[in-house]
Amino acid sequence: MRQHIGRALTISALLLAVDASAATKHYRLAWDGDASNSAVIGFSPDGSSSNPYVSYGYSTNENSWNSAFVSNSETFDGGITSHFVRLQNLNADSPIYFRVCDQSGCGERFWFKTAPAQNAPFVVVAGGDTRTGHTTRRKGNELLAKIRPLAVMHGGDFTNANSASEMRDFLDDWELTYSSDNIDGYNYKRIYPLIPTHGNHEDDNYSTICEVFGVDFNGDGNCTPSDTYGAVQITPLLRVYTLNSQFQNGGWSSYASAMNNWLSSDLSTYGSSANWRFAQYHKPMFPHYSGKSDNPTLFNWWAQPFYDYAMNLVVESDTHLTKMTEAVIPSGSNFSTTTNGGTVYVGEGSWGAPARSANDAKSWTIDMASIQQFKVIQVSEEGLVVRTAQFDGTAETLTWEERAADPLVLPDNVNWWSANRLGEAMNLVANSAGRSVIEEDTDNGGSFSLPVSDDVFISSRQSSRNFDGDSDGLLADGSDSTYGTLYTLIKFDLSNLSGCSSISSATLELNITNRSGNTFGIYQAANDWSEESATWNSVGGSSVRGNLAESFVPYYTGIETIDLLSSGLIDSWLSGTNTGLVIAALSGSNGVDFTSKETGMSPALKIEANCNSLTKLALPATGIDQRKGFIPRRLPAVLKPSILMPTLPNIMQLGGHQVEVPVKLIEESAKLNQNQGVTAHL
Amino acid sequence: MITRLFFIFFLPACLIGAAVIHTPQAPKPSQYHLSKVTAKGEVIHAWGGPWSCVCDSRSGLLWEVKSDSEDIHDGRWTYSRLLQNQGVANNGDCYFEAERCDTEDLIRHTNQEQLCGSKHWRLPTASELHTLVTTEVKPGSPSIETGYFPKTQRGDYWTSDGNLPLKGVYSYLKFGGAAVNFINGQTITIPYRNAAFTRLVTNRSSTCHIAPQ
Repeated sequence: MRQHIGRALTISALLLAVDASAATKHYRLAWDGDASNSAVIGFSPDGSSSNPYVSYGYSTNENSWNSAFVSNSETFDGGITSHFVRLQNLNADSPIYFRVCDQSGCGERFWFKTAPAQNAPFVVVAGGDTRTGHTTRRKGNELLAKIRPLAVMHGGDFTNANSASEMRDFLDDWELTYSSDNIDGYNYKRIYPLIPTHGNHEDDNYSTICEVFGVDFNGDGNCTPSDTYGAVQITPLLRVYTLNSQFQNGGWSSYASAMNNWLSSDLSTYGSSANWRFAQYHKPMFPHYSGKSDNPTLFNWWAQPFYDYAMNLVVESDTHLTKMTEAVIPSGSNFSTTTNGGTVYVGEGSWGAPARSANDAKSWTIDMASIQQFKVIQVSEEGLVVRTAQFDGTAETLTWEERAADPLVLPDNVNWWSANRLGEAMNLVANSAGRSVIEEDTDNGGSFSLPVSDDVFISSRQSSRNFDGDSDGLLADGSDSTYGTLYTLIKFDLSNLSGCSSISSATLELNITNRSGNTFGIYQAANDWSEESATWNSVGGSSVRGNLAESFVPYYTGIETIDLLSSGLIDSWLSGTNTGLVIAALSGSNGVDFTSKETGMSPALKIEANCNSLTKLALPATGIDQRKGFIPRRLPAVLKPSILMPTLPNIMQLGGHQVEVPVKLIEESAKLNQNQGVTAHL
Repeated sequence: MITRLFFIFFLPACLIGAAVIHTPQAPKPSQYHLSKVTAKGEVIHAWGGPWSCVCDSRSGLLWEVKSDSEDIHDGRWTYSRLLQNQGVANNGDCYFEAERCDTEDLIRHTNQEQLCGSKHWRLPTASELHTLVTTEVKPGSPSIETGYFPKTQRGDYWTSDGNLPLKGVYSYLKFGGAAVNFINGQTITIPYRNAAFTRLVTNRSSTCHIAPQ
């Protein structure tokens, strides 16, 4: 009895001490380097707090804890003072228990987990645009606490005005992301490490994310705009690249140049050290809302390096909607779909900020919607599973025991958004080059689509003109007043059929935009062609029509489906040359229009077949030995262009920026401490 | 002598007199087709304010004016399209509802408050909404007279035209509603679930009528 009374008194005293020592608040945690051994704890004074420090340890026994002191303090917008304590040399895959202490005592108990040093799976959350819509922002934060991810990627636009008062509100709301745990009889808050991004609403202060979250991506001990980009290694499985899309603004070209040089060198040297590579930045290359302009500068900077170095998943923000794309490859000034491995782009913000009309689909868009959401991504050696969580209160709450027992488990009853064709989950595997391939279930029903590799129309009256990517899409007509006779040529990528033993169904789908009552024939193309060069003359005019396979009448706009299995067309392609097909009028002069892969929904060939699974995960061929040394948080850009050029042929296309190395960054490389290992000094 | 007097005095006097007699009246400025209406339904001067609605005397339609006051008429709020049980409920962001928002929420609240004296607010048809589109705007501005319609967003505005076939990436959703895009004035069909902007209209108000030609 005495023992119980004593324990109760002790707990009461501790509770009183917590209340009496509430001289700090707004606790946050950030990752900016090797997540297996370091983290930055940030907090702000709540009243008068002097000489604050962090007391931390690997168990709840506070007698065994160590102290870490404030490494730097920053003031944001003249109104928020933040102190940052950098914990280093932590044990991997370990719980870190801590309290922030000052002259009055120690505050609330928190804990987080360092990233594993092995290929252990985990969950990350990725979203952005928390700047307005506090009600939904809070719902999102509460959902995060239920999901218990290992880390959180935030794509920028933390607040609307980037003011101290709005940032205080953000930090107030961020407390809702804490999960409540009772560990060894103590009340703890699980706090999740944030990897922050600079958004356009932070543009009045390019040091916002280091002033508020304490990130020091370049490890120079200073808070500057150079801390808006860098890499975080989260286990050997994942390397997360944070980039600053706002460096495309005027006046930031030298920073853009430094950032892009660093990105190329880091991808070249360390990208393949991880099984998976993610990127996050604020502005989408191609927003899916017509009210936002495309960002060709970002495309020119990053699309090719992303593809070259097998960036698996890119998370964009800013537009306030959700999207999921095909795996894409840069093609001219746009993307095209590939089934042979590419980069998948998801996004675009809406963690509170009002959803916008998702009205600007691309030919490579799988689906999009106007919802409040963030992405929940399961990362494992075998693959990635990307889901879109909508914000409501339906989700169950994971306990810390459930999370400890299964690093991939997700709460029940999350309101997952269901994307067309994919359903609730996008499954990604890596091909032999490490690039992303969307794995669709071919076992249940065995249905999948063959993407178009080439599509173009040709005109008898403009017989030497190539119409690839024409804004009219694809046309077929017996006699048009402007173009004369029009044929459409379509070719499909048949590579996914290589592992299929039998095909039970093959259906051509055309998205008709201008209907016709005339009959059109589908012919096997008599000779080979490519969309970039095909003209009426180059394909032999009307002789490009080989054997007639099928015919159809496009009575209605919308999706027209035509059975191609019985025609033997696919067998002919597979056994001989894949010359594609020709669509031409069999009668009449009322033409038909349908969308091309450049103008909207591309033609598709839906297949039902018994096929083997796609290639499972493999590391890129240029991989370095994993985990032999620490991976630097950001590789100083000391690699000369001549070294990069052989592995990145398009380096000179990086926004036209010079590839000279800023002197400052060279100096920074000498300041890297030993924890960053020898690889940092390349 | 008489001839000289005629040219010096009489002729100029006659010309001046004729000019005075035949001077046309000063042109009366034609009434501009848009006029501001207060929340209570009173028409005010073109330079007056605040105003909550605009009357278009060409069409006889009274239009809701958007604000930035975070009330139900805030121009930043978005709505999914729900009309007479057709569409998707609560998929926009307006913050004046406990749940998320749809067009029926805005219609209900606006009729309850009898904005500008009317309780017959509704979604406009596409052709009605098109009457507000103007192409003579500054680059980057919405395609509308922002002097009368402030806080208009460059984006999609719902219309009452529904049950339209969706195309492209949205074809699997089958049907959607028409929206007028105030970027370029085009009408597009988008899924009911899209979060688009909304401007209500009424043709049953006591203050707004078609002006006699």
